[in-house]
Amino acid sequence: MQFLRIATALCLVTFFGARAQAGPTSPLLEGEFDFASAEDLSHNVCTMLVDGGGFVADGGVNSVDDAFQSVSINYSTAQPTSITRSSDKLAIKQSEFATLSVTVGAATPFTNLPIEKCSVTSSFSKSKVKGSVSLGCKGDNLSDLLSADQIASVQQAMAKLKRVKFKVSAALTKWSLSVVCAGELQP
Amino acid sequence: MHFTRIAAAVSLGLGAALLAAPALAGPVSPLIEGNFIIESSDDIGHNLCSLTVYGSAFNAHGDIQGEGTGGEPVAVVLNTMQPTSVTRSTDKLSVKQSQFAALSADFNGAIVVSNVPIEKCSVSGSFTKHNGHGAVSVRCKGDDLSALLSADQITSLRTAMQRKHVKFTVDQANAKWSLSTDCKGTWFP
Repeated sequence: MQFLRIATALCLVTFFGARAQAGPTSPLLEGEFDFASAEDLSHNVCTMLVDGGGFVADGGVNSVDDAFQSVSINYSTAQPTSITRSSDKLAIKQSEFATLSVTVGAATPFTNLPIEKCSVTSSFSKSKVKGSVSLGCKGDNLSDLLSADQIASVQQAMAKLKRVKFKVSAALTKWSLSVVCAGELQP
Repeated sequence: MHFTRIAAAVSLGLGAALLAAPALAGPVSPLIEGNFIIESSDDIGHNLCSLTVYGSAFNAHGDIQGEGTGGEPVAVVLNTMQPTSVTRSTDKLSVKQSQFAALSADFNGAIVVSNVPIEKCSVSGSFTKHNGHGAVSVRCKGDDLSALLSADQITSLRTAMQRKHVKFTVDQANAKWSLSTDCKGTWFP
């Protein structure tokens, strides 16, 4: 997530950089807006970023499995499919192929992997000082991505978070994941 | 003008390289990606536009090139520095900025106005991959052109913008102005 944000910033600075001349200042929303789920606090965080023509919504959930091994899932709109922006509001959505990254203990089974049936929806209101980022994904091939032990770890860790639902079929293939990160803008 | 296009291409290439890198072999997203340059079919070489999407970065711009009063090259570019709405699918891309689109102008190779946001200025672009058709339209007006350009430059700009699908008007005080351009054609890869 961090990498993506830095990469985006670098690219956007290069691409849209030269705001040279003095002129009227645009009031359109710009900046990075961070939120944390009120129920899960630092275990469920998300961000919306708008910088010129660049738009990213991303988030991450982290917890521990029953053996206290850390587990984290990060998600991102690597290719947003719809965006609206005004001076007060921002909405960024990717309706399919949002990306997931998973870390279990010291292992990172996959990073920034596009998942076909995976959407990220986000919105922010500057006047209300509130925002949310939601993730909804499902797939048929979890055992291609994670080992049985890793799946068990992810199940145990995600069960500890209120706004996260992770389900896997008995055959460890079909799966679904939903995350809701909604809260007030973090300073 | 060429600088704008080259800079955009280079930086977008960098952006793509930085943003891409999905590590694991997995499904490849079919969502539209690329830089789609379009040329107005009945004003070739003078009325260009493009829509660009790489990862999470979007841009649409229109680029009009003409000759000023002394035959010198004059170019005007309108750019979505801060898009206000975007949609993208596997086949279609639209990028729009409804206000505060950015104006650049150069005269004889010298950049005189560089990405100045204009309040009443919109840029609206769309592209369809399956038929290669795209369009970008620009609608701008303002009250203070003399704050941006000298009287001679405004005269030169009026001459240079006398082109098909381009309308540029300025009042006698060189203050109130309007510019509309339409670029419509087929993508040339």
